[in-house]
Amino acid sequence: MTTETVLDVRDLCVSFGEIEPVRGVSFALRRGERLGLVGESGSGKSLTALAIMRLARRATLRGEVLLEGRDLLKLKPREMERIRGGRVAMVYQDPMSALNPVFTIGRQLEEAIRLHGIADRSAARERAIELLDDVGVPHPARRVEQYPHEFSGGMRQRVMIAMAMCADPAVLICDEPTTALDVTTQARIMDLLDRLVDERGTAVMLITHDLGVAAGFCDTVQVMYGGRIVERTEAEPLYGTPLHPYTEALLGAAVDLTLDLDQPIPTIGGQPPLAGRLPQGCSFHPRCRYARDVCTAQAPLLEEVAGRLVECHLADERAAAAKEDTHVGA
Amino acid sequence: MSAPDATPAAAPEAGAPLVVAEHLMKTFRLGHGEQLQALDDVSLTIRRGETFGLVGESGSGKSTVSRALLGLLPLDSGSVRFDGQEVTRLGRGEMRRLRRRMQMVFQDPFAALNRRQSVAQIVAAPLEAHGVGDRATRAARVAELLDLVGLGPAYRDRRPREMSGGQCQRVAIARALALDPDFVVLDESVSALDVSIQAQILNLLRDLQRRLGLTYLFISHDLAVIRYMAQTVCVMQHGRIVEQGSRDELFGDPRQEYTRGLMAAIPSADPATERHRRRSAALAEGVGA
Ligand SMILES: Nc1ncnc2c1ncn2[C@@H]1O[C@H](COP(=O)(O)OP(=O)(O)OP(=O)(O)O)[C@@H](O)[C@H]1O
Ligand SMILES: Nc1ncnc2c1ncn2[C@@H]1O[C@H](COP(=O)(O)OP(=O)(O)OP(=O)(O)O)[C@@H](O)[C@H]1O
Ligand code: SF4
Ligand SMILES: [Mg+2]
Ligand SMILES: [Mg+2]
Repeated sequence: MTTETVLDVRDLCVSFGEIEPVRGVSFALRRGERLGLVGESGSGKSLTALAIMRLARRATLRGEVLLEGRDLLKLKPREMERIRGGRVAMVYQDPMSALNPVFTIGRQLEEAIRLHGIADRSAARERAIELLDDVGVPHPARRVEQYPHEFSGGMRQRVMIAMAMCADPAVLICDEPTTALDVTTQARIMDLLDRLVDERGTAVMLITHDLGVAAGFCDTVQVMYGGRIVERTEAEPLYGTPLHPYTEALLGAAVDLTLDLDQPIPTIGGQPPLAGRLPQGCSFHPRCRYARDVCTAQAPLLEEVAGRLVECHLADERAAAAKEDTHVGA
Repeated sequence: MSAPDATPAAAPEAGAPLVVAEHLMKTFRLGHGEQLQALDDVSLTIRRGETFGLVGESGSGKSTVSRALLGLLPLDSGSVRFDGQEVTRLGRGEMRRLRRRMQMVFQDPFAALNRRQSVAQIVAAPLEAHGVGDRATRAARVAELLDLVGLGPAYRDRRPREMSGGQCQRVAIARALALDPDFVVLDESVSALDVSIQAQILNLLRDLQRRLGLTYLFISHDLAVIRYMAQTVCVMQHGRIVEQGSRDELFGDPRQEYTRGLMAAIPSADPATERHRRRSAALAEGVGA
């Protein structure tokens, strides 16, 4: 077992003038690790990933992003270009803007392949067809000659995944890679990612709002809220006993097959905080059912509680109560 | 059934057919002289006031069906009637009037929004195009719509590039609702949303449906969402409809192997169950291959 850290993000901040949607995010990713990043829409998941790739346009970045020891934030644009899609690759949330509409799918895949290894044109084409087949695109040999608009939404998503895998990266960031995919295709993609981790030791960071998908894939899950990581732990304890009240609310709001059809779906209530206009104290307090006076006055810090990281004033108390519960239950 | 004279003929009856598609056929070129049968004899009826759910694997033809229903796709053959009018044979003026009554939220939210426009301009665009209200009433309507989808006034001047995926998706939903349409196609429209916002939007859509009698074609890969939203569910595979029925029929007793497979693959938000489910599915696939 290797525990070598491949990506080390330290106190990353992303801002646009006054607005700071990512406020001090730190985490490390080891070789062969499967890390999940979940959280509300607008909480800063994509921006965190784009900042790592140095693709957050017009943003000011602070902190460190160490990829195999090198700080990506200090690289010249030209150097970064070589690393992007090479040692670190990303599956973007919007496939259409990442694909060029005037080139065939095959040509775009080949280009990515040739950029990172295989120089021979026909070998690159063969590899492109193989990759399309891997992600489950039918008739790959015909399909390489088609243009992005001739693919269905889910197929374009899968082309993105094939493209990201071309270079055999050390770190693969997948931003909602299966959002619009049916469950069987989704399972196929997740199996493919599993294989990549097991066989190549790729470290994968999976951004998803689908808690089921995260549950099936990730060893560790971190939860983001209002531009900060508010809880990080192994998948099982996170789902079993969420310590942060936001994590708890998130798990409670999932739509599943047992929902009462005559009732509105439970929601967390209130609105997500607006970057730049964060509430005083804990940014979750206006929506938190456990909030106390201290929560409105003082921002909690990310602290280790019962073997996990939690950013909440009540973390200790809640951890103790959870422990009590399991004792009573046992 | 009530006697025919019990309701005045003019009032559209809830439950009466609104969109009727018959024998839709469409082929696309696949290169090397090969063709892809994207729609293969698709017939369906969507009733006024209902949510019609459309599911099926990626590439099965769901988005293609929805484009055909809205008159956005030239068909090889077949007919689509919207409220009695043959969509495939309408002139431009008639089509324009019809467009107002049917709206679509596309699958890829970033691509569907004009990136040079602000959120307020995007949502106001259909109102302007159809000459609805004056500047002030339009602005008020835009504010109201943004509020409905949970985007406060702070987002008015943002451009799509300055927003998250879920925020873009909500702008697209607000735009689709701007003209008070009768029929809205929602193509994976809540897929990019986190559970809480998704729940808010689904609640909103159901509420609007009850209040305004809206009819939805709801495309989603998420069967739990389909179950919650749709009264009628239709399953597609390779351009064909393989199963169609009420929610209770489909979820209670799926007849097709294919539908049962889809149901079994629904992920669960429990790490142990989910890992076990996925591993056994992978094993089963390996044995089958
Ligand atoms: N260029 C920008 N200027 C100003 N604000 C921005 C810009 N880009 C993103 N934001 C804001 O930063 C916040 C975080 O966005 P991000 O795309 O990271 O969200 P996300 O967690 O990926 O959400 P989703 O699940 O909806 O994709 C959002 O509130 C968004 O509006
Ligand atoms: N303009 C086009 N030209 C050629 N082929 C097309 C075109 N539009 C769609 N197709 C093909 O038709 C088939 C059905 O596509 P469609 O977009 O309807 O699938 P879908 O069921 O919506 O899939 P997804 O869930 O992935 O969005 C696919 O094989 C697709 O590649
Ligand atoms: S710090 Fe207070 S408001 Fe914030 S999550 Fe914990 S209990 Fe809730
Ligand atoms: Mg995002
Ligand atoms: Mg589609």
